[in-house]
Amino acid sequence: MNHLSRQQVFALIDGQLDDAEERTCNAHLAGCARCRNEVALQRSLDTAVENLPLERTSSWFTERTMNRILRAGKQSLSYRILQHVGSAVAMVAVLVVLGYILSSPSELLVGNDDSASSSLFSSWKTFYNNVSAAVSQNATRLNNVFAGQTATPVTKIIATTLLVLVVLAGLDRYVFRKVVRMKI
Amino acid sequence: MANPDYETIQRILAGEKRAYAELIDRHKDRAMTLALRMLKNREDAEEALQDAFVRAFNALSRFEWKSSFFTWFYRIVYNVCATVLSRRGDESFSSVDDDEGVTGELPSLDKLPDTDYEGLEFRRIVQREIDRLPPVYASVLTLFLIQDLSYDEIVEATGLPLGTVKVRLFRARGMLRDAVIGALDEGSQQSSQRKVALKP
Ligand SMILES: [Zn+2]
Repeated sequence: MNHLSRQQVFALIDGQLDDAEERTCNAHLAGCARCRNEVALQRSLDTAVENLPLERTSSWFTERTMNRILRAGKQSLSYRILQHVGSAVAMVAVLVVLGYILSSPSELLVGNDDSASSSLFSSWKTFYNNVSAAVSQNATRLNNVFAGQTATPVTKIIATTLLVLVVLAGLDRYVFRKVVRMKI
Repeated sequence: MANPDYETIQRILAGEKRAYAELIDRHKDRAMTLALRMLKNREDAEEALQDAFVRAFNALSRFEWKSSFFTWFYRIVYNVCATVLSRRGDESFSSVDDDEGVTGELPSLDKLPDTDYEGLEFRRIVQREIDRLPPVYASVLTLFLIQDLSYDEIVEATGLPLGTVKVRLFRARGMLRDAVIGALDEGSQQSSQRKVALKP
């Protein structure tokens, strides 16, 4: 018999030969060092490849993949609205506190009478008053457009709320998120 | 059923989405090994693997247990990596001639290279040469030896016909063998030259 072919070597190692073929191969191997070497080498190679360490993903791989999966599942409108409620509440709170301070500086800023800061506050107060006047005016206009003859204090509150929400959404979309992304 | 993947997948399908992390942890390193052997670049491999996990998650309800989860999942990894390779313009992967004769004579091996076949140096050479194998061969060899898949499972995981799997596997092992023998010969020549040079 000739030396074992490559196919025979692999088939022998993988146990893919039928009994007759295997007997013939083994009989040859018993008398041929070259083919014994070949089989031994191939076995060592297979073992070496099997025992190579597995490649590792970076440590945050699972977390990042899960985030991607879970985020993709939550793109519903209600989720997106909820995402913005937090920043809207924060902005309303800031505006209310600022408005309260600026509308009653005499009570809160007693003893803090230097002219630079009081002029700063008065200009802030003017600005705040102008803004609230503008909101109120536009809310009235909105109220008249939608409610017309049936306009009541309740519809005026609804119109004001709507207007404020639109302004907040705009601020959130174009200012707040950009500031957050800047990672101050 | 004693299959941990089966139990995990039932929980995910029942709405416990976070249980998918267990499946990722269980299979990511083996799958990463396959992806890296194919793409040869850690960043690309990790991105492809992430894509594959997201796709598998989205298709999980359609998985019918005709094969094991990981065989099914390897097929997704294999396909994603194949797409990356073709996007790179690597045509070696899609246009392989699997009909070419494979009855190459074995180069004579009258004497085994004098090496410690369980040693670190041998393993280092094997690792280097397997990293150098073309993706088309590295992929089947990895599935066969590292993932310990049977021929039929490799057929399942690659979508290739059985004959093609056998031919590629045969070539992959032959190429690796020749490359490793070449590296060992080179190494022994260098060391014997060094010994000659050291003689007074
Ligand atoms: Zn022989």
